[in-house]
Amino acid sequence: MLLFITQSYDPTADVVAAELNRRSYPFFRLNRDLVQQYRVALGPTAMQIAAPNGRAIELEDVQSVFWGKPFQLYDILSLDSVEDRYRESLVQRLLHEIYSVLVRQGAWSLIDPCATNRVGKVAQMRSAIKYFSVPEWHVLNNELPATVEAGNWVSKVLSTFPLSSTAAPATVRVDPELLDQTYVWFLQREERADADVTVVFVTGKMFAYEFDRSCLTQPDWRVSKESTKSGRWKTIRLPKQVEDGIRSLMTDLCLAFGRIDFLRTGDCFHFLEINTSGQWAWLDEDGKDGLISAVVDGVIGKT
Amino acid sequence: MFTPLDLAMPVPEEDDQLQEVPGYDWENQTRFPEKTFAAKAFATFEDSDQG
Repeated sequence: MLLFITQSYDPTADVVAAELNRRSYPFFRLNRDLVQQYRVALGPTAMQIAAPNGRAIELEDVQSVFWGKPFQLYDILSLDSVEDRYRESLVQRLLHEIYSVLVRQGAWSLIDPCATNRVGKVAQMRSAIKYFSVPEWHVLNNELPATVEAGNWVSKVLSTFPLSSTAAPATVRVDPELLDQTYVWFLQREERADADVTVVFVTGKMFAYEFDRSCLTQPDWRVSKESTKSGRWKTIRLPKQVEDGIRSLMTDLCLAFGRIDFLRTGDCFHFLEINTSGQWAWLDEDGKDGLISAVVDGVIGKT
Repeated sequence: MFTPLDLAMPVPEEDDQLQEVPGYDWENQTRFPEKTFAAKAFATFEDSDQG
């Protein structure tokens, strides 16, 4: 039995749920945003969660747990009253309590909700340099512009905290001399790359895709409507050296899952980051690459 | 002087056909029609890793 901790508006969670349904694999989806409709009873002798339709799960029967981005910090801060924010914080704490019980009892977990803190971007880049080119980078507080030499720089996302419901931090070109030094900045030398490459790594299997940057006018592909069009991310075969590097890096960082981003210039793959709980469902829309099946295998601990 | 807030980028708008959100299906434990999964998944805007 799988306990799937997520929220009901996440289509990636729907992709996983649909595949589990196709396999008739038993699972229980606990949606953070619908938590008021579940009954939850945790105690010294029994721990049960029940959905409004009568579906129920005993935690002692759970062999695997999937942490599917059930919330963001913004979910609390977007609420108006202190009471509502506190209520939401209790729900988020409850999900962590359930997750920790399951991990303690030996349930398999593909995604570690604490991975972002355990393996931050600075730690990732310092490890990745053993295997890949990593564009020069600096994380600075009160050090601008003394540390940063002249050239083309981009400001990158260190905190993914949403700024509003319609705006998000992104990678943008900057002049370091014009940045407010009272903030912490993550700067990286801009690479004039041919393509963005993203690789979904799931328990040793890799699925690589490439997006042609020639249509982009800005460094960050996420803000381009072109990048959201069907079929713009093409399947590619990774050079063996890159595959070996990814495998070694993920082993070094003790990660079973991640979406690893690169920039490709000719034959050179420049490491950018690992998204330890990154989205992936748009990459293999019809499942023909086997990505959905591989992730679901990873979720249920089938290797 | 620029702050990180000055450099924020707009989140891409979702395709019109995805604007209407169906109710949650408690039996199948899904919400969206299967055909819209992939496009909708992208529209959640990568990447929030604070959950």
